[in-house]
Amino acid sequence: MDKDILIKRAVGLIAAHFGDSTAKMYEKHFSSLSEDAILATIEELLSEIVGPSNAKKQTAILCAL
Amino acid sequence: MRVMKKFYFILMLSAVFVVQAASYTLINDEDLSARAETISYLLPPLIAVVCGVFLLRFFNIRHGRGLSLSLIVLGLAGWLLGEVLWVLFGILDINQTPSIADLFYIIAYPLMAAGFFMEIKRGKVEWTAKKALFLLPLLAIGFYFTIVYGIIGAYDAEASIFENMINMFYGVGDTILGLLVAIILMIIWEYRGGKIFFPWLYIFMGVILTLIPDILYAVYFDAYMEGLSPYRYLDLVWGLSYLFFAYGFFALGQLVKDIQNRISVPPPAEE
Repeated sequence: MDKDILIKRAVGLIAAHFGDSTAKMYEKHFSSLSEDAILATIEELLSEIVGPSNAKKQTAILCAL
Repeated sequence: MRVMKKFYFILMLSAVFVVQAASYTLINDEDLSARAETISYLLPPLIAVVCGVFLLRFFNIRHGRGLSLSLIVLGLAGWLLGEVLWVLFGILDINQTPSIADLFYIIAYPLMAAGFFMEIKRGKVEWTAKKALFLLPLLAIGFYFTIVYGIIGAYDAEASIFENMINMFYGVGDTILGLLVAIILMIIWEYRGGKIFFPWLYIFMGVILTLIPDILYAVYFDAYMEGLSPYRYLDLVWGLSYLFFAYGFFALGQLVKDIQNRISVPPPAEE
């Protein structure tokens, strides 16, 4: 998957849960990471916040899009 | 540091509740008691709305969670305005119900229902037979109490049609909220194991602690209006519900702050 698209989707997911200001901060942060690191970060973050089962569901949607 | 913040916040909310409970139970002087009750009655909804507004600064209120939270906070602001007018009419000896205060109380129900409904959509709840089996008996019990006591029980043959409509609308509003709350339970279930579970649990508690005194208010309306004990203590339960809302918003705000701080603070250098 293209990195820009991945960042856009990951940031969208963060915005939906934690608001636009948080999403903007992560957008900057993600630009310095690799695709794998972005996916790992978002999965770890969601797992901690919305719970492991919900996180899996949401990251699966993110990858499938 | 964050744990201390939470501790002090809980301490502050507990102090507000203790002051409210004390003003209702310990002051013997009638005039002083009335004044203390008025101030302490308005503090919890004010705190809840202030916490809600502080939480909203993290979100864009035009979409996503920001929109759903702003609808819930707007609903609470409606209740706060209703409470202020209720107290004001009481002081000025104006008829408290039906009055314009009812309008603000009632308008809060569709606003909050819309906010919770949007959260339900975001929660991506997957319906399973197990969840339905858990939810249906709860819904049946909830509907029984809200319809029998909140709607039918609120009917007063001696009151005007307008008064009855207003009293019964509270029951309808509570039924809608009760239904949404049951579904929020499912969302909370989805978030189990995650840190967002707890803020939603506190908000859920806030709604439950609104629903119960709402139903009791409809059933014991006359006794409550006469200020008889224990019916007058319904105010304390409503007060507690607002404090749960406040803590839910505070906890959610702390969670967002925590997530932001993770990347705004550079990681410690490796040795």
